This record gives sequence, structure tokens and C-alpha cells, in this order.
Amino acid sequence: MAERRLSDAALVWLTLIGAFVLTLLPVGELVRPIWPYWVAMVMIYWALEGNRLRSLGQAFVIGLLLDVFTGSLLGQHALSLLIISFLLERFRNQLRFFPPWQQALAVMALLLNDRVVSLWVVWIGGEPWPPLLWWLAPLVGMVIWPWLFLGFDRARQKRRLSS
Amino acid sequence: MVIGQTSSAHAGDLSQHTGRLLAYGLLALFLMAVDYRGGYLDRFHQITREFTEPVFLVLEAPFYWPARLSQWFRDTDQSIAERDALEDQLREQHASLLRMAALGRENEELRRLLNLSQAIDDRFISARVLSVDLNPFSHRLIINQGRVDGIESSMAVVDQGGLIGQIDTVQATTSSVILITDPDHALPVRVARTGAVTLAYGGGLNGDLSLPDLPMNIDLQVGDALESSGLGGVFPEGLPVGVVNRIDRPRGESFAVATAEPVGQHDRSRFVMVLVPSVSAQSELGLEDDPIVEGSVEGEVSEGEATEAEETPNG
Repeated sequence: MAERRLSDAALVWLTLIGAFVLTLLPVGELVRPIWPYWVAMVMIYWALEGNRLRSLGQAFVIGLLLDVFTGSLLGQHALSLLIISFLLERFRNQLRFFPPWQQALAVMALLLNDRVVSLWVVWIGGEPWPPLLWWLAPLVGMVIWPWLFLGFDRARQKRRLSS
Repeated sequence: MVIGQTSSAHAGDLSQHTGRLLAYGLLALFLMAVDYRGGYLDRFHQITREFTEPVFLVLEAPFYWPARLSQWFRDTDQSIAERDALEDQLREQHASLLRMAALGRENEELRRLLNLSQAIDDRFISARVLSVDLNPFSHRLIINQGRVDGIESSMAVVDQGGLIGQIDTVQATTSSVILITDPDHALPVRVARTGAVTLAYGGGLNGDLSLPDLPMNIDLQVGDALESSGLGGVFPEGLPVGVVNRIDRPRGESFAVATAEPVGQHDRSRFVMVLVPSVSAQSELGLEDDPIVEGSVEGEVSEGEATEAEETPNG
């Protein structure tokens, strides 16, 4: 019955922490390139459905934290989350009422922004081009999106019903 | 629903929003530029690593302890067989070590005859690589030894194959290793066959080293072994680094370009060793070239070597 006391705010924290853990999980060389952008997906869910994590400042701070934890160039994830958050806010009214498959496509388009930002960072960092597989990550995110959406909705509904 | 009203409110909101996007975006770009130039944010990274350390250790636990437990409950027969195999290996290596000791003495004597200071370096700290997966573009590993274990910044890190990197930042019980495959990393190397020296830069994600500034007429073949040259004083001399796998002599260019495959298996090895330099391990060449090394050596050199260290730059 501890679930009853879980507010939306607590759930936001829990899912964000979960996303960070998933990001840092050692998944091996093969899965790493296609590992989806968990933190962005969690942020998209809350911005669309929970009316939370909608401000650009929040996206920026979460991105900076992610940079600190993953050891990437400071500001890289901040920038990509910022862009995603801006586009989300711009098209929020359309996105919210899309049918699920269309919404999943839109999420893929949003996640693609992150790939573009990291490609740019890779380019100025003098790294070689990442493998083609690397572009699959937004696609994987798209496939996971409906399940994440349903799972989160279920968790919140259960809480609402039991309270 | 008053559509006109909401949309105009929305428009005002949006322009404000765009302003904020620009502000935050510029801030992000500024941070990236400052971080990329290096140096300015070192202190910040050091502090944030201290904060992330406990998180990494917590994340590591579910991967580490089950492995330990399964070892605990393992079949006795299997353990005995494994121990026997290891004992055999130990005996063999002990025999070859005895020969090495003789060679070491001989080497020491020859070096004294040639008036070179001691360059043998045999202290090391063994460390386990944490399972935490950082961003692959960061070219870093986190190991489970830190300040309290005597790790210091810029110590060389090797695995059973050879050199894999050097210590970057040090926390209380962990430290981060920057790999030689990082494009920002330059490693002074020597071709083992000919003794030619050059720099090996990290090749980034594909894991190769690149040697971009070789003279056109350099005597270099595919399959040549590269070892650390000891120039610059960070890495000890003679550690295996890689094997040349491609040489290009592009027409009309002024330098030949080669790539080498590193012998250290940083992506597979779970255990690494951190070499602890003894003061006398700084090579002569390093002293000549690098004033910083010279300064650091002056502190605690023993008498015999102190005179040598002072003589070398002049003579």
C-alpha cells in the first residue's frame, strides 16, 4: 500500500532515476549503438501526458546531469534535450491527440534530433563516423514508446484508483 | 472554446519560449566549447566525478556480487582442476622469471657501463574495471582503485596485452582511465624493429591508433610492433602498444600515414594494472625533452642518480 502515497512527482523522480540507470547499464558493444535515449523518452512522456518536465530549464538541467554521468562533452545532452523539449512544447497540442502509431513516429522524429546533435559533437571531436547501426536507436525508441506509454499510464492509473 | 484567444496567448508564449531556447542553447554551446578546449573545466569534472562515484559503485553491485556468489558455490572438482592448471602456469612463469632476474641484473650492469640510469619499473596496482558503461565517445574506463590505494593522475595503465591508457581523474576509491584510442590522446611510440620514434594518436571509435606524421621514406612494414618510447615521461619505456596494420604513402603529400591495432584489449579485459613509477624510472630522453619531468625528478632522487640527472641535459 506504499503505492498509494506515490504522488506524480515521486513517480517522475523514480522514472528519471530508472532512465539514468538504464543509460549507464553495461549492455555491451553490440547493443550500445542502438540503446535508446531513455531519459528523453521519459521526459517526452511526462511533458505530453503528465504536464510535468515541460520547461526548457528542466530539460537543460537533466541534460547536464546526464552529461556528468556519462562523461560526454558538457552540454551535449543538455542541448539535445533542450531541442526535444522545445519541439515538444511547440507541437504539444498536435502530439497529444495523435493516434498511438503516429505518436510513436513523432517520438522517433524527436529522438532523431539527439542523433543529429551527437553527430555534430562527434564531428567537431574528430571522431570517425559512427556505424550505420547507430542510426537505429531512434527506431528502437519508437518501438519501445507504446509500451513505455502504456506502462506509465498503468502505473499512474493504479495509483489513482487505489487512492 | 475561444480559439483566437488561446492561439494569440500561445503565440506570445512561443516567442518567449524561443527566447529562452536561444539563451539555454547558447549556454549549452558555450559549455561545450569551453569543455572541448580542455583545461578550464578540469576542476569541475574532478568535483562531479566525486559525486558520481557512489552512484557507479551502487550500480556495480548487482553485477559484481552475483559473480562472486557463483564462485563461492562452485563445484569443488572444477576449482581443484583450475587451481592445478594455475599452479602449473605459476611454476612455468616462475622459471622464466628466474631467467628474467638474471637478464635484469645483466641489463643493470650494462646500463651502468653505458652510464644510463635505472629504467626498470616493477611496482603495479591491480584493479578491476567497473561494469558501468559510459558514453562510448568518452573513451574512458572506471576502475575500482583510487586515491586511498595510491593511484595518482597520469599513471600508465596496462592489461595482459599491453598499454591501454593512463589515469585521468582520481576519486577516493575509483579512478577514471583515459584510453589511448581517444582522438585527443597522443602517445610517444617507437617502432620496435628500427627504433624510429613518432606519435600515435587515438583513432576514436574504430579502436585503431593512427600515426599521421611519418616521413615518406620511413622503414615501416605491416606487422611491425610499436612500443612506448618513454619520451615525455608519462609512460615508461618499452611497453607493447600495437601492431601496424596499414601504411599509406599518398602521392603529393608530405607525410606517410599508418594505422596500428592496439594490443591492449581494453574493451574485453575486466582486470587492468596501474604502473606506479619509481622516481628513477624516468628515462634520460624524457629528462632532456620535458622540463616538467625534470622538475618532478629533482625532489627525491637518490644520490647516484641525482648527479646523472643533472649531467644529462648538459652533456
